[in-house]
Amino acid sequence: MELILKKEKLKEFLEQLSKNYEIIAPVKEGELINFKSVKDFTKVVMTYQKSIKSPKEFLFPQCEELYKYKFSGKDVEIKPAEVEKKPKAIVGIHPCDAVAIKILDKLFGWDYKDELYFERRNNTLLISITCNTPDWSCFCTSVEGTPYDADGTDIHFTDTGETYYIEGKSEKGKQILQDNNNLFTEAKKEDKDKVEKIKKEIMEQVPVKFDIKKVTENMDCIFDSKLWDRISVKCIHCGACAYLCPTCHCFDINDEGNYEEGKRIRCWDACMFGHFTKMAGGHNPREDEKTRYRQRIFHKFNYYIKNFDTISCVGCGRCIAECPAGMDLVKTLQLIEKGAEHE
Amino acid sequence: MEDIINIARELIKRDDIEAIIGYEKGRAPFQTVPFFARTPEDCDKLIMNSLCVNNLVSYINQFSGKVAIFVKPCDAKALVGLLQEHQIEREKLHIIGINCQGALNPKKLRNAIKGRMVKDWSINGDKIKVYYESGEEEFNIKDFLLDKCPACDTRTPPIYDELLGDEIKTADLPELLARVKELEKLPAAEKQQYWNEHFERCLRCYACVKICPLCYCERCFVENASPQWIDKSNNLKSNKAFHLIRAYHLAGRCIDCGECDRACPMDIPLRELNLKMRKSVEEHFNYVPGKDIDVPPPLSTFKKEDPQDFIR
Amino acid sequence: MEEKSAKTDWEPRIVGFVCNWCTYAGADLAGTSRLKYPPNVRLIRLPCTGAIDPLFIVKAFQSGADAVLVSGCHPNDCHYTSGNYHARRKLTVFKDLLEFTGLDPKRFWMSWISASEGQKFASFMEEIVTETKKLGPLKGYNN
Repeated sequence: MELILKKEKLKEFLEQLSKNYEIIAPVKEGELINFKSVKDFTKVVMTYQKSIKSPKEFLFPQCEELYKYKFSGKDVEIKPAEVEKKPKAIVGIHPCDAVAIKILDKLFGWDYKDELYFERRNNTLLISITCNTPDWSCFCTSVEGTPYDADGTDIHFTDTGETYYIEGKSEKGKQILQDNNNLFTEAKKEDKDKVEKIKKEIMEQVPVKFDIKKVTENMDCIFDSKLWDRISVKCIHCGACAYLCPTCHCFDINDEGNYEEGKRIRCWDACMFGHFTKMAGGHNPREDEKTRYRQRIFHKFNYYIKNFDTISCVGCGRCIAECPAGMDLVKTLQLIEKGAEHE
Repeated sequence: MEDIINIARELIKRDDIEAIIGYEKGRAPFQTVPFFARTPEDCDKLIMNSLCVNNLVSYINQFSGKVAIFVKPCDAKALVGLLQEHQIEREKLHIIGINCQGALNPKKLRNAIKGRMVKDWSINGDKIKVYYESGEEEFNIKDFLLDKCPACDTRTPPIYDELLGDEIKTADLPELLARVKELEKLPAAEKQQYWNEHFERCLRCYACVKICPLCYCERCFVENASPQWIDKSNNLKSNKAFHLIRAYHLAGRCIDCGECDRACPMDIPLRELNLKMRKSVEEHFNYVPGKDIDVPPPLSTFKKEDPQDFIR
Repeated sequence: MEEKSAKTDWEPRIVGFVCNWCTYAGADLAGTSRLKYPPNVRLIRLPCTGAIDPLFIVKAFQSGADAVLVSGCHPNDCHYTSGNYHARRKLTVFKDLLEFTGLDPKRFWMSWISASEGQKFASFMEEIVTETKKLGPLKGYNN
């Protein structure tokens, strides 16, 4: 199902959509592009370079309550957390971030099915858009992705200049397009050709930077390489890369409250922090930058494959673009591609 | 600065120097990244220009031996701070100071080229020349300076073993604290709203803390779990507490290298908080950080006649 | 923490960090002298004002304090010679920071009250409570 939406009708489409969905879309805040719950749809920026955070936080919030507890005498009263009931529509998500959600699905649906995550996930509509503004840090094409193929979303947009070329992907998506039929016109062959041309042009802007097969093959024999010492010295072990990453999902569970009542919460945590693996007795199995950085790379390009048969990186490039110390994941993977002997 | 490679090669040949802390070219246009040269061959990669933004001082303690380090004036001020607080040893440092006319903001430059593919770039005097696949463009360095640079009054490092580059004359500097004074004039409610909007965005990635050359505590107060001063929750309440205490811990110590500002992915204007502390310390105790190694930092000492107008 | 909603029956909560040797004894004297002062203030006794970390103050605001007081020995009278001088420097700067980020200056108080100044303690508490009542409940710290 391929349709055309005039750009000036986007607002109307979002208004229709907002009757049933809370609209989450990219908006400009100062210099940053950020996904926000939007009411004023004129503020929505569909064509943007890179949102500073990925929209993963709308499925897996940075901090979420698991339950509340209250002591009364010898009893404890427990009140499980409730997820917001109104469905959300994440509009304007780039293909890399959309693929990331599929990667997260595997983790949260693994041995234990995470109820809170899936309650949100099943209640969320994904409307993706072809990324036609990749920047220097993007490398989706090197990790088996493309800037236009948003697998797993419901509706997909492509900005063709004056109009959006719209594809209904899922049944849910197709139904929504059907319901708002009056806003669209049928796509013609020349529209399709135009989109194909755009796809080709963008692909050229994101050249393949390494052979991911070779990288993942080499991972197994590189654990003890001296390479890690060299490349990790620069790292200042902050959590910027992990917190901005669309697939990083480590969390920590904490209690916050007083003697009478409180809540159990889970918050994002990052393997780059020194205290991430610190144990009660004071021992820290990953004490230095080297072991922590190696963990991050191994988790994404080795352990995740062993567990879920996919790498856990979508090539969005946020960790590269925003690293204050200039750590470069692409460079690291290129070194791994060459193998340990080139250290 | 063509001679830096030769200088570095001579230095690394010396038995006592373990590494040279400098910069190399990064992969992105206008990007330089920290680089640690350990062999003469490594030294060929070293560069030094107005795009070398990182403050390298925080890397010194990663090395056990003596290191040579390239420092801009603001980085050298951080060295002064660390020496004042006995965090590094002067004998284990060979300081290569650089006269600085201001460092450039690589992100701003990247925005200016509007996504065009950059083949190369070069800096000549007050112009930066960008070579594209086809054609070239010239930009004024003045328009792309980091926020901290225009008002900076220290163009020569306060401490060095050797000094590179021509002396830089400055005149008619804009006022460093202009923005702070502007914010001070806002009514309390607006101040609160301004900062709440910023603090609310905070991710608590602690990039500001980790990049800061003067935040060297082995265990930061935010990592402390008993007592848990700052909640793990990322909400306004705890973000605010974190930022207040972070800024306070740098009062009288922050030398305004602006690294926290640059590191923050969420663009929180951390420098404004730090500059407020600078202003406060200067007003009340007549002290400016990063100048003198032998003077104790203002909050570790006192005078009997310190002002106390607000105390009843 | 109970809700601080209806302004009519709202009573301000004041947290006072006081030193063991002077202000705490001053408060004691106010009590033994049967001086009357508003019960809104909760005192937390520390060995010395020099031991006050600004984190305490932030934590107090977070936990629902509408105003915070720090009080200790007069200059030259510190039991530990110089704790109050250090506190004075630290809190001068920290007060500036609190105000810069939007806290009303009348929500953070500091005083020197000696063991013999029971009267000063009582009237100062009276003043703080009156001023805080004018300002209403603190917003923006405890949400």
